[in-house]
Amino acid sequence: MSIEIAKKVLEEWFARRGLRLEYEGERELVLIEGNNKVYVRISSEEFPTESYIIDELSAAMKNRLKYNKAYIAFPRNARGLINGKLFKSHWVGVYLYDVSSALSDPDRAVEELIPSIPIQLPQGGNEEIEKRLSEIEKTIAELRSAVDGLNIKTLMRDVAELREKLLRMESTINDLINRVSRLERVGITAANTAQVSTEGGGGGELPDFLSDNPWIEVLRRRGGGGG
Amino acid sequence: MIDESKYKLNYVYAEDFGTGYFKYGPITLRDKPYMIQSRGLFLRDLPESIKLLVPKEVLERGVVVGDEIPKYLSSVRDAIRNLRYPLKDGIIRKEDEDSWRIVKELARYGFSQFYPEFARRPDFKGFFLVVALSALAPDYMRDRMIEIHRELDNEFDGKLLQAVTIIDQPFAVAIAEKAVTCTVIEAGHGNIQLVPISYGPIREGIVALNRGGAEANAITREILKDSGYGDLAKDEYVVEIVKRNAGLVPRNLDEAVKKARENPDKFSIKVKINPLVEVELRDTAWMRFLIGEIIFNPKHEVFTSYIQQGRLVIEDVTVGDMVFYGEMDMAEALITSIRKVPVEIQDKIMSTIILSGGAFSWSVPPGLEDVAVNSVDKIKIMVSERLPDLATRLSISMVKDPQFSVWKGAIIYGYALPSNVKWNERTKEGWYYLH
Repeated sequence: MSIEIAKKVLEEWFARRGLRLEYEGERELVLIEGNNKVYVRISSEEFPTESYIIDELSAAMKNRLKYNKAYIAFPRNARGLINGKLFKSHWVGVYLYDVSSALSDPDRAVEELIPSIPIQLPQGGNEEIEKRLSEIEKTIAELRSAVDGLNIKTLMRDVAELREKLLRMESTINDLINRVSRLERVGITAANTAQVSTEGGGGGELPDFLSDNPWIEVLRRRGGGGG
Repeated sequence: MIDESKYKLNYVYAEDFGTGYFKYGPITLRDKPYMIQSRGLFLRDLPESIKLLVPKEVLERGVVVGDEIPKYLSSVRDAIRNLRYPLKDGIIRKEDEDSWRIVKELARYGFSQFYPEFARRPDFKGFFLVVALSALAPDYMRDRMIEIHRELDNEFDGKLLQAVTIIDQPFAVAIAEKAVTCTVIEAGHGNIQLVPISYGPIREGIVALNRGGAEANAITREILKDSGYGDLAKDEYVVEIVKRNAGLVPRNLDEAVKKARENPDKFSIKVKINPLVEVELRDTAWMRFLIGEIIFNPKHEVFTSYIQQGRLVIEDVTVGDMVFYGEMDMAEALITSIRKVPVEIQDKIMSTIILSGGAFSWSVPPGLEDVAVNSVDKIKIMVSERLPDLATRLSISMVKDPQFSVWKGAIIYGYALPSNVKWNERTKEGWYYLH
């Protein structure tokens, strides 16, 4: 269905209700209704998917604060696919239009399915607010890039890693305490324990499962040496 | 050698690609690797609005693994289609590109947790990587694994890996269990591998059985149907819980069934699935013994009617040049395997048997010791019946650390296998250098 035809049908319908067209974009209409500014985004998708609706909604939300009311207009066939709660929670309304009935019954060519909840716009000082908004947006963008630079994911992962290491260290310490007390019980002196050597020298001691394993020698011989 | 040992004490890294979990990490983790589920989520069908929230590099790779999955799972409408478990029975088909992508992502996920810290150390010149795969993995899988790690190494500017080697999972189990001459029986979800080992795996002696935990699930499902729980039988989660709680391995199936039929109260069981759902097996309590028996001996006549009615499929299949036997019982499989190794070591290999894998974890409830046994005793009974002479000398044990023994064995292998042993296509052993 052509957007242009839909736009015409909607414009005429609004005109009959005394709304004045202020701006006409490719898929957008801005109308004046008394003191209210009304934004209408037009979709020609007869069977919109959930993700399409979310995209449309987020496009309508972009400038929501500039208008008292905001609507998205869908073809009438889309009625069953509209999630009312989603729109109401974002204060955006829904019009349904039917191009085929525009000629026979122009009054019923458009129907307000969900009313838009109006918001109060500050009188005057719009430019100042816009300026402040753009300043805030800029600050948010700067903050975002600073946070991106921090790479939270890596930090979180590091913290998780540290936590795990700490837990492991705790369990190793507990293990060592148990061993020491066992050794003390059987009366093995510190001098004897010092004789326990590790193959790698000062690089670190062998993990338990590496010690006394006959496979170490078996595998080492595959290098041609005696181990 | 001392320098090499010293280096390897810090920089050996192992990856165990299991069907359920991927275990990974460097030797410095000592005896507990990190682990995540062996699965990946493809970022297809994401709504545009969600795509904006996904980091660009993740979106480009198109697949996430580990703790990243839950973040996106709720957003993807068709999660079942996009959530994939790449290692079915330990094997990935050659053309299954989706699974290869997940495997690569799993490996990358692991390395990215350790590399930044290791890269800062002045003596770090890349890991010695050991990849543990199923003994039934075809050659192309080993080649592709090496290729994947070469690509990952390039992503890390060639500084991540020095050399790669591949080890059979049962061989790694034997190493972790310190058994130089033995038979390892690995019972997984989809198949059972028997691998004789004498200073290394004896490939000619490998026997594969085309059954495992999945067949125990299949018979549990039929038991649920026969017990009036046809609706619950469709739920794999319920089947798994009932199998784990109600399944029993009989000392002798005929005697166990007879006793259970005579005294159903003693053998009845209630399995609580959740606070709302409970399954009770009373009149069909005797069937609990079928759940365990099918792993060890599906040839028993009690299974015949299930097979004839098409309720159970147990058949031989051929994968590559390997026959996976369906009905061969465990003792026969063991004897078939042993017959293929040199005569003078047959006795030794057969007398030490190590059991690993989830399909061997069966317990005996108190009071049922006269009819039910664990996997170790079951195999002891089966082998002793066939070979009474060996009965007194049989040493059968379960792995001490079933979850991590493959990773541990792979670490030991990487530590001990000298760096001058280059990869050999014939023996499938040695280091494959990437630079």
